[in-house]
Amino acid sequence: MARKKKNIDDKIEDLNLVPIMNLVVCLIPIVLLGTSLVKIGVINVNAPKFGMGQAAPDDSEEKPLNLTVAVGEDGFRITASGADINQVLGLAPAAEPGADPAEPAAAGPLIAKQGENYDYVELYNKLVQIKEKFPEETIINLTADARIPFKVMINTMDSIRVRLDKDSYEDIEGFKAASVNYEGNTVKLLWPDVVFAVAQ
Amino acid sequence: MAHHTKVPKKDNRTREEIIADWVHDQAAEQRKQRKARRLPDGEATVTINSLMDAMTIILVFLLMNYSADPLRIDSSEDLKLPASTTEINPEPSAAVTVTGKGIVVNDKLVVAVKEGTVDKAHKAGDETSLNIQPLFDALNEEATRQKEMARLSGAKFEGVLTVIADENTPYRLVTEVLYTAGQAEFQKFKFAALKGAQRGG
Repeated sequence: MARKKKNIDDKIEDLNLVPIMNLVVCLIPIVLLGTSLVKIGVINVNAPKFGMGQAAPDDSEEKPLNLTVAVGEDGFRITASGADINQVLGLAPAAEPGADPAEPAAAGPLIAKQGENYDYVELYNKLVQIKEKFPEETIINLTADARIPFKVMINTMDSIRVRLDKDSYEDIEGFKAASVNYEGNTVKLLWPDVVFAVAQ
Repeated sequence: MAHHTKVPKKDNRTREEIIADWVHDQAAEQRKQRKARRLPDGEATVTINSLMDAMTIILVFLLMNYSADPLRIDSSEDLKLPASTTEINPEPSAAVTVTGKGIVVNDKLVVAVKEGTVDKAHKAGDETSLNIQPLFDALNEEATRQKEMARLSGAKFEGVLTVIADENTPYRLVTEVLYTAGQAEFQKFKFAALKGAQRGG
C-alpha cells in the first residue's frame, strides 16, 4: 500500500525548464552586447562666451584675470586680459608702444607642439605658475582654431582643470604617471571653470 | 539483477552483512524503476536547476546595469568618443550628439554634417553665423518641454545639456553647437568622454 502511494508522488514531474533556459541563454548575450563595457564620464563646461576681450562674468570688484588659452595648429598660446602672459607675470617687459605690429604681444608666447603632439606638460607648468600668482581665479577661457579636433580640446581640459602632485614636470612620462593632488577628500583644482570661447 | 540473488553468495557473511546487501539491492532496484518511469521513451534530461539559478542571477544583474546607466552611447565609425581623465559620472539630461554625419537631438537626426561643417543653408544669417537653425528649433522644443516639467514639479530649469561629440569634430562645429544651445537657454554643458585615459593624450 505504501509503495502504491509513493508511485503517485513520483508521477509529479519537475517543471520543464528547457524553454525558459532557451530564453535566458538567448537574452544574456543580447544584454551583454547592449551593455557598454567602457565607462563614460563627463567634463563640465560653462556656457561659451563669444568674441574675445569681454570680461568673464565675475561678481568681484577686481578686474578679472580673463585668462585665455588658445589652441592653434602649432601649439598653445596663453594670454590674460588680452596681454602677453609673461607681462602679466612680470617675466617680460610691457609691450613698447609702437612695437612691431606684425607680431602682436597679445598673441602670447607660443608653447610649441613637440613633433605631432601638443606640449600639455609645458601648458600645465605655465598654468601652475599663473595660479600661484592669482590663487583666487578659477575661470579659464579656452579657444581654438576652427579646425582643431575635439579630442585635443578634451586633452587640454584634462591638463588644466586639476592640480597634480608636482607643480612642474620635466617630461611627458612623468606627467602621464602623475596622480591628482588631493586635499583631504577633494581634488585640488587648478583652473576648473572652463569657458569655451570663440575668436570671431 | 542483484535483487534476485536471494541466496547468499558466500555463506560466511554475517547476518548484518546479509541485511546490508539486501537493503543496498532494494535501493538500487527502486532507483532503476524510478528512472525507467521518468524517462519513458529514452528521453534524456540534464540537471539544469543550478544552471538556471546562475543564469537568472546574471540576467538580473545585467538588466540592472543596463537600466542604471544614464548615458548610453553606441560607438561607431562616425562617433568615437574622446578619452579623458575625468572622474565625473554622467547624469540624466537632454543630450545632443555630434557625429561625423549629423547632429542628433534625443535620437532624432536634426541636421546633416558634411566634412565637419553644417551646410550654410541651415545657418540662421550669413555664412559666419554660429546659429544652426534646425538644431535651435529642436533644442528650443526640448528646453520648453523641460521648463514646463520643471514648472509642474516646482523645480528649477537647470539648462544642462550633455554634448556627445566625435573626437574628430572640428572646434568650429563644437562652438556652433554650444552657441546654438546657448540661444535655446542651455547654460551648462557636459562633454561626454571615455573614462580612464592617460593625461596628455
